[in-house]
Amino acid sequence: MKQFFAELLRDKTGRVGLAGVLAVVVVAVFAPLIATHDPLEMSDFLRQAPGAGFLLGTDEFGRDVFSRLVYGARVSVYVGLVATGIGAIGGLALGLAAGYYGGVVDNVIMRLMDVLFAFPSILLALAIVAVLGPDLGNTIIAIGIVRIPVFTRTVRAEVLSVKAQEYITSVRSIGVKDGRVILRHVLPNVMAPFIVQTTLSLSSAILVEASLSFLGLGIQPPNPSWGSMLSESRRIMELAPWTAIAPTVAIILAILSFNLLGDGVRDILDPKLKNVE
Amino acid sequence: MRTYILRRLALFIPVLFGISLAVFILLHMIPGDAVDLMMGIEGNPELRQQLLKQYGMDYPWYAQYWNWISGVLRGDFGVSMRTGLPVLPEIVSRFKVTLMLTVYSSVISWIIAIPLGVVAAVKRNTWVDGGARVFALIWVSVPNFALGTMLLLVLSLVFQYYPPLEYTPFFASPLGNLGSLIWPSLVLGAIMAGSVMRMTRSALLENLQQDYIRTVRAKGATERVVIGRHALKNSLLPIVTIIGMQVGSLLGGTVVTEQIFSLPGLGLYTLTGINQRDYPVVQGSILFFAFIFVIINLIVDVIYSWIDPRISYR
Repeated sequence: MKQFFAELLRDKTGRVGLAGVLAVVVVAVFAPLIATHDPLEMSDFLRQAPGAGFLLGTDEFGRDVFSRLVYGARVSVYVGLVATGIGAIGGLALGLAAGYYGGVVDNVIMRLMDVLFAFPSILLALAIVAVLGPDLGNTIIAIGIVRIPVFTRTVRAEVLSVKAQEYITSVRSIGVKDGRVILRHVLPNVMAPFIVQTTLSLSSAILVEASLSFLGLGIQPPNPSWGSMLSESRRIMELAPWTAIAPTVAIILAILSFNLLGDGVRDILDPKLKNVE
Repeated sequence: MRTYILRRLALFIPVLFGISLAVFILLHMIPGDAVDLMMGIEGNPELRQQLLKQYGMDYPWYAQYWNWISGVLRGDFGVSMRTGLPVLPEIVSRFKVTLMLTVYSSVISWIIAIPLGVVAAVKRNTWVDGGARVFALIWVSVPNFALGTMLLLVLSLVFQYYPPLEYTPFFASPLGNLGSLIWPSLVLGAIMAGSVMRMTRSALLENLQQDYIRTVRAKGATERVVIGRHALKNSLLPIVTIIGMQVGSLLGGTVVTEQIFSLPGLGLYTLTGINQRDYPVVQGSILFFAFIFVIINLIVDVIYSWIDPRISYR
């Protein structure tokens, strides 16, 4: 663990990514301390340009853009973590089962994954949110389900190669039960690609949340999310460009940080995937 | 090869059948159906019964599914509950918009990404390479709706230009068609360019380290021949893979882009259908999307064996 972080910090990509991700997380956790205004409070200053009173100006309802941005970080981080968690755990379980048991189990699971995978994630998440109704919890479930196939495929592929190793045959031959073989002997050996996939998935989850909120299907107004802030700003952006620019910059920087961290983690844990340098 | 394609086509049937069933069940789980939405607050039970009957919704769900799917097999996707227009012709005409958008954005991304990836690989570890890689890294982190909104903002504030709100079909005026699609295509193309460029660069670099490249160089071939005839040709496989994946997600990404630029494409049609609980529209367009995806996957696999004769399908 210690060695892992040391390596991550030695790598420029990993360092920048980690710093960015930490910054977003700190902002999200300490949002009430960092925000200068109540993010929902409407003031009399409509579409005020950025300045001393309002760091990043105000929107069409006179709400402080900076404070909304800070609270929006909460939504992104929360959705990113929980949705990725759902996808990762679901995919891990399905991937282990499909890879280890093979046969019918494998076929049923993988054909199901093919169907899910055949859809672009936005469209699938859209359909799920439409069924469950738009709110934060359902958005998270939808994004989580959409991420399951990627994890299932990664884990299954790894399990298949681990299963062919002789030490698995030997533990099975001395009568160790399937459950124990999977947990004690297979699982630890598929962790590396699994962790890489988890880190890389965080940015996609944040991206899909922002897209859904942009389409009005994620978090509901008046609560701030970067996607919905950008979508609301479109009506007034020629008069108040800062209302569009601020969330755009926030989204890009956050996703960029998570991508950089993902690349850094991959370079350490899965060197064979590393781009030829 | 032919048997392979035929077998893959046969596999389409269970997959598409599964998707149609999943979509159908999913949609019928939505609380509050289209009839509720249609009646608004003035509805009464008699009117509700009458509307349910009109749309064949007074049967159990499996009977409704059978009605729908047997129609689909005959090429009848039903009529929209909102507009009363048949769904299939609408899907086809809207798909043309989405298809044109996909084609333009793919071409734009290749024009940007492949040369840039080649240059970055050849001039490896120079400022050109560094610049191109930073460019790609930033581009893969930009959501298409953010880039689209920024583009509209810059166009209107700096250039006082507003993209046309009317869509011009290709056969009415190819130039007008380009005019209505150029901005959304630029957005999608630029975003796609990031990952294609990264893949081009790393695939080419990997090949440049192979022994056969040294042999080609030893024979005295010029760099142009080394890169163009040998290295790039062998790097095409991963590039085609990522392009195939990208075209798939491009079709999905058009949902948001069509919304921003108000293009009458299939994505926007589906989105509106979902919001209005217009069952036949959503079922039909999602089934159509799924069909396109499996077709694209098949085409990519066929292109593989065409690029690399070592891959043969039986």
